[in-house]
Order: sequence, then C-alpha cells, then structure tokens
Amino acid sequence: MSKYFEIRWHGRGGQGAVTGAKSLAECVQGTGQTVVAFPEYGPERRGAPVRAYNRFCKEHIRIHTPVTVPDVVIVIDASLLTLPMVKEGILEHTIFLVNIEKTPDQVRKILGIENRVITIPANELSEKLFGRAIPNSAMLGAFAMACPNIISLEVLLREATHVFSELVGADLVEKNLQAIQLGHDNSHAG
Amino acid sequence: MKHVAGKPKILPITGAGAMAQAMRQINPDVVAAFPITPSTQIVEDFSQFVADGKVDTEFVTVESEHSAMSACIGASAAGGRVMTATSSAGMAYMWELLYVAASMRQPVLMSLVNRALTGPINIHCDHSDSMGARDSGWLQIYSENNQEAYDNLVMAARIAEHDDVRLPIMICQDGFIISHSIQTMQIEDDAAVKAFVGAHKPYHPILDTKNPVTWGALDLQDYYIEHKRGQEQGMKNALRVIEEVSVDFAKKFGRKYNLFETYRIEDAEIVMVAIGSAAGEIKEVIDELRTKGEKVGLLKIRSFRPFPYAQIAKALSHAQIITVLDRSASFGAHGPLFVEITTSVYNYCDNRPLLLSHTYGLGGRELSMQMIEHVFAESRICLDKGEVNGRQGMWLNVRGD
Repeated sequence: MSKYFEIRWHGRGGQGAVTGAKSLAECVQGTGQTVVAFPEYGPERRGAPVRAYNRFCKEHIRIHTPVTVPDVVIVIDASLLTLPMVKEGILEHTIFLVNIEKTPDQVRKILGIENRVITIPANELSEKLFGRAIPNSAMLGAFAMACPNIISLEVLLREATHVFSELVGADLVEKNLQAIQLGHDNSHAG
Repeated sequence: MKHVAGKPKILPITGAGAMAQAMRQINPDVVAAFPITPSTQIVEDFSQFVADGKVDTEFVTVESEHSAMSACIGASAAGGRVMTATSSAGMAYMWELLYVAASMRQPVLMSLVNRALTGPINIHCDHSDSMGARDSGWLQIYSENNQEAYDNLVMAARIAEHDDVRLPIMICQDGFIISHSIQTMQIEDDAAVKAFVGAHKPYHPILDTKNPVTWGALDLQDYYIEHKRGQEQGMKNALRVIEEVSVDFAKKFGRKYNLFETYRIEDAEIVMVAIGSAAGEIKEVIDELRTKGEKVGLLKIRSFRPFPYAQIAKALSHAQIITVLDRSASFGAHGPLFVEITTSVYNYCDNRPLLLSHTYGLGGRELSMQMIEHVFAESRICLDKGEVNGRQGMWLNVRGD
C-alpha cells in the first residue's frame, strides 16, 4: 500500500468531477495534510467520461502520475459503473462511493465486486436543495462519512465554509453546507 | 486568496495559479501576453488582478505572441520591469524576438509552461519549446513542482536584472502536470516578496529624454560579434548570480536551491539526470530501490542556460553510469540534455562513466514509476556488461520500439 491516500473520481464532462477533486483537496488541506488534485488531461467534451485524482499525505507529495491503485473510487455518474475503467487497479480495501439511488449490495452486484460500497442519492438531494443536479457537495459529505480518518464531517463543514465562499460566493455557502450535511446523513454504507 | 499581512500562506494552488500570484507580488510595470494553453490561467488570473486594481501593471492585450514579445522588449527598453507568459507555439511565434530581447540585453521575465510543438497537433507536456530556444540567449530555469516554479519566478528579476547579467529569463514548468495540478505550497507574504525582489533600476531607458540612447541599432561586421560576446559574458556571470540570489532566497524564505539538485548521489553507481516534474517520480523510485540496496541517485537540472558544466561534472565524478532522460528530441542527434551532460563529464572531470541516452514523454506520454524502475534496471545491466550498445538513444514507452 502506497504511503499516499489516493482517490480516483469518475464523472462525465460538466458534472463536476474536477471541481469535486479540487474542493475536496482544498478542504483536506485544512487538516494539515499535503494535498494534490488534478484532472485527467484531455479534450474537454461535455458528457464524455472524465477522471480526476486526489492524493493526500502527511508528507510532501512528489508524484504527479494518475492514480492507478485507488484507495477510494468516487463515481458521480452511475451510468459509468458498467465501464471497466471504474474497477481498474482496485484492491480489496478500495472503497466505492457512488452517486446512485440503490443499495450498496445492488451496486456491488453491478460491479461484480466484494468491496465496501457507500451509496448516496446525491442528485436527488441536490435537486431538492438547488433545483438541479449538482451532486458535488453531497458527495463531499458522503466522503466524510466513508473516510472520517481523512476528514471528519465537523472539519469538512468548517473548511467548506471558506472553500465555498471563494468558489460559489457567500450567499450559496449555507446551501452547500446543508448539502454536505445531508450527503453525510443520507449515505448508505455496506 | 485571503491574505494575512506578514505571514506566508500554505494553500493548494495550480502551478499556473502560483505563477500569477508571483506576478501579482512582483507587480511589474508592463505585462504583454497572448493566452495559450496550458499557460492561459497565468494570463487570465493576472488580468483579473489588473482589473481588480491589485497591481499597477499596464496590461497590453496584444494580437499575437510576436507582438507580445515586441511590446515586452519596447517596454523594457523604455525602462520598465516587464513580464509575459506563454507556451509552445506561442513562444515559437515569438522566436525572432526572443533573440532580439537577449541581444538588446532586456531582462524580460517569462513564465513558460512547457508544451509540445505541433505537429501532430498536441497540447501536452514536453520540453521541445524551451529546448528549441536554448540558443536564443535567454536564461532558462526549470522547476519540478508548483513551489519551485513560484520560487524561481520570485528569484527571476534579481537574476535577470543584475548588472552583470542583463539577460531575459524564462522560468519553466511542465504543462498540465504542474500547471494544472493543484498542490499544497507556500505563497510568501506580499511585502516580503516585494522587499526581496526590490525596485527595478532602469538601464539607459529610452524615456530618459535628457540622455537619449538608441536601442536595437544596425550592427554589422564591425561590432556585432563583440555584442554577442557580451551576451555570452552575461550568461557566464549568471552562474554566479543565480547562486547568490538562491542563497539570499534561502536566507529569507528557507528553501534552498542551487544550479542543480542532487538526490542520494554521494555513493550512487547509477545516476539518472532529468529535468522538470519527472524528478518527483524518479526520487520516489530511488527511495524504493535504495531499500533493496541499489545504489541509485538523481541529478535534476535547475539552470539549463547557463549550463553549469564544471559543477555538474564534479557532482557526477563518482557515477559509474549516467542515464540521461530527455523530454525533447533533436532529430538525427541525441537529446539536448544528453549532449550537455556528455560535454560536462568528458571535459570537466577525469571520471569516464558509461553514458546512456533516452528520450521520453513527448506530447505528454506518461513516464510511470514502473518505467523509471525499468530504466534503472536496464542501466544496471549496461553497467554489469560495461557497455550500452544497442540501448543508446532509445525512446521510452513507444509503440513498435
């Protein structure tokens, strides 16, 4: 196992995988860890599968290569679950965090794996809050539920206050904090 | 970015964003730039600083890179501190003017984000753009990560504008790999950076109308070569100045830099030489191989122009095989870094190691840690055999090779 905690995000162009990785890194930075976030570099096409990556570590992070052996796989768009790339390089301990209105068991069946799965209906939650599907903040809350050793909900909410005030402006901070809380409370682990 | 006066800020930021922050802190008199991927964010962020009144800079929105560099040269000759940013084809379009800036001894500061040259069309990282400009008379400083790119740009003005140098400088970082990667780094305090960089001292400025001067005049057989010799002297002096400024930077901000960086080479039998972000992965692999008892190390280039031949030769004087990784190709010849390392070792010390040349990463092709490990293993085989025949000049991770 690498000394780095490594995350691979899967989404479709325009859904916010890159912003999600960036926001998560900015929040985790507040825990004193060294962070890295970067997208898979390629042509930007709305709707096409995209990947983004995070590395977190207590030490300086020297490597820049894409994450090939993820500790966590975050899937923002459930239609990607059938693609082999989602399962690339996973180990027994790899956790899947999936934006879907299904149970962890159902997702395990789709993926054909035994790994730990956290599901979260982030689209539904964000539709209620924002009137459209912008799942990122709820996904962050679910991440804090899945990996409290990396960032606890309490610290996430604190850091997100700063991060979101720069990203979306002060007026939308409160709603995003709510989304984080709801994401945390409504995720299903199994 | 929130800022607390007097304190450095540790934050996650992209390499390009960090360059824009350094530019904001340097607060140059003039910036002339034309945005091009992957250096676009530098120009975007900086133009926002201009619009928000965070800098006093005259921002010249030119219609091309050729004009950008022309405007930079003119503004510099007028007496200003001048900066620009570009990549790849953008710098290629500046080509003619790169030589003019250097020959007019205008210390223009450029943030270059390294990217492949077309064709085939490609926007990703390699060092073809800056390596092609290695004879243009610009100082070239390369960076491994966001922090180094930022630090190098903070040091750039002091080096380029030094009376003994007076040459333009490009601070290079790897396109996308660094420019678009958010990394935790330290942005120093605005006032501390301002104090470190110091005020710009115009040198015979055109705007000093009481003392009229001519810049960029015709210069034929009678004096051209003397002026070129003067450029060469500026480059030679720059070796000392880069070291002096780096020492001062370390005193002020704590991060130490030299003309190049060595990593675990004291007892290394196999030394890899590389430029830019690849050094991070190489260090990681070295640590891994060291636990298995392999005596391996790295020499990472910081200053490519001027090239510190004697210093590098000394650092490599115990290596038994030196494996050089070039991220650009000189078609029909070895890569530019390999040529310099060979010159260095074979002219400035008595050591006669094996020298192995590889080209990698053109157009953004990934250099994985497995590949680096493979190259170290291959270097070991060459060392055991006592020759590199058959492997010399191979390109890494290429289909059909």
